[in-house]
Amino acid sequence: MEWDDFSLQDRVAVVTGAGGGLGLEIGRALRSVGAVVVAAELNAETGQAAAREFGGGFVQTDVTDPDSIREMVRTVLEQHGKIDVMVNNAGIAHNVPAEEMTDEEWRRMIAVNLDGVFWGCREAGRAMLERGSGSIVNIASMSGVVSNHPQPQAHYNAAKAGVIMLTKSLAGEWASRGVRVNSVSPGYIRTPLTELGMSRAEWADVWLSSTPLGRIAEPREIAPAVVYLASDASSYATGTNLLIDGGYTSW
Amino acid sequence: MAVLDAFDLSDKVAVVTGGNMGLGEAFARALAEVGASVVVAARTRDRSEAVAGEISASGGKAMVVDLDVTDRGGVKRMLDEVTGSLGPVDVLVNNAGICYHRPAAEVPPEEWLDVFDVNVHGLWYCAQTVGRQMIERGGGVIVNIGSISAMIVNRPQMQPAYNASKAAVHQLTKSLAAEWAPYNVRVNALAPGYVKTAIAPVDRPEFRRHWIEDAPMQRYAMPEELGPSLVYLASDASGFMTGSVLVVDGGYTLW
Repeated sequence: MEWDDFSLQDRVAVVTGAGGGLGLEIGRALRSVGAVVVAAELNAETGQAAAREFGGGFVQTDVTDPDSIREMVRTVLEQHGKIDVMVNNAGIAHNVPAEEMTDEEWRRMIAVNLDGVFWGCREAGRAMLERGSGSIVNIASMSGVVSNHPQPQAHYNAAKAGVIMLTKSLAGEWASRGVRVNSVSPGYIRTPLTELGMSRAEWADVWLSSTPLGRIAEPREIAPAVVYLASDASSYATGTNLLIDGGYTSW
Repeated sequence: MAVLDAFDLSDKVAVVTGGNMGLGEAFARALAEVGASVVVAARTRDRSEAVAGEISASGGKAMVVDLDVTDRGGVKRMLDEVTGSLGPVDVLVNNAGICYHRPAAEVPPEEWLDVFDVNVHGLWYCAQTVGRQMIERGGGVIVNIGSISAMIVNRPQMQPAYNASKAAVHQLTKSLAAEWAPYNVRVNALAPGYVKTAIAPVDRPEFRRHWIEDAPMQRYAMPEELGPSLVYLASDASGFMTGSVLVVDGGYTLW
């Protein structure tokens, strides 16, 4: 093993949802090991701010729209010539009891958290397969493995389980053509998505008491996992789901 | 902060059981590469000294301790010796393991017991002995070497004892992780697929059909390729991870 295995020097990486929370920390981490990082983000203001740190530019991207993703990938290829690393990170959270969920709420969740990941994999994957190399990291969740409580979120959990299985499926299809696909499944992290839950004692108490480490994670604690999966450090790993949950799923 | 700092193990003491050959040797080298003082704890002293010598020659820090993990008293003596020479243990890599290929109906009692003595009881002795010291100090990291054999049944060779022993390792990993999380002792497992070592003759033609062709990547790994995965688990890079099993198998278990 060499330290160089973790390096992404001269590699081009795209992070969706790069404007805040976990995406911002992932972009910073990839940047710190040498990658040129492109911020793909729906929000122009946060996306441009992230891009100023990342050095690879900003492309406004709506992951629910396959045309938008296709256009983003085209732009990145035009500007940088290739995509070595694709991090499908953009996601939303929402809580509603299943019996009260509207058709729109269900569709919106699947459109961002599952469809968006597939469009990202497919478009970046095409460019990677053409060159015979690339690493895709999908941000799933422990919610794809266990059902959270007490907050109701059947659509979120189903979408994240979908991401984990999509990851394995694409990994199987593309393994012999040089493209690796893995997922990271965090437990509770301090991001805008968990802000609401942490502010409600009746939720936060359950979250913390159900986590053996007794705390939630900071986004920068998850970012090294993405560096590991994006780089040659994990060259024999594909289809793997990396659970980083403070022990939550052990209980 | 440069993210690579999270992977650094400078000034840490790391023990690798079975650290003188195969994956264990690669783990010892990888830990030394990121700055750890590495203890090669294994049975064959000549081989251990050769590995420690090579680590030292390339600028790393290594010491040798004789260890048979099935000897509980020996595990305690190993810990005392390491603590006396280098200080308390920060990272324990439970790597020592054995495997026999034999159909279940033909497995003699001593072979079954042998596998469990090394792969489960030996790992338990080390985890408990070193774990007590970590609990007392308020921190530490344990990495158990599991296997895809805990999740799938290998073929064409039959190895029922090994498969069951590795499933025990994965679940013991979760048990210890949950129990010791309040003491800041993290416990995770690494589950490799087919790696070229003495216990896995990956290039024998009779194994090609299943060992290689059944893996989406269509190849086996060399031990060194698993080094960075071990470093990830052993370091602060995985600070919020405990009770997890990191599968690195060329995609073998996804089909």
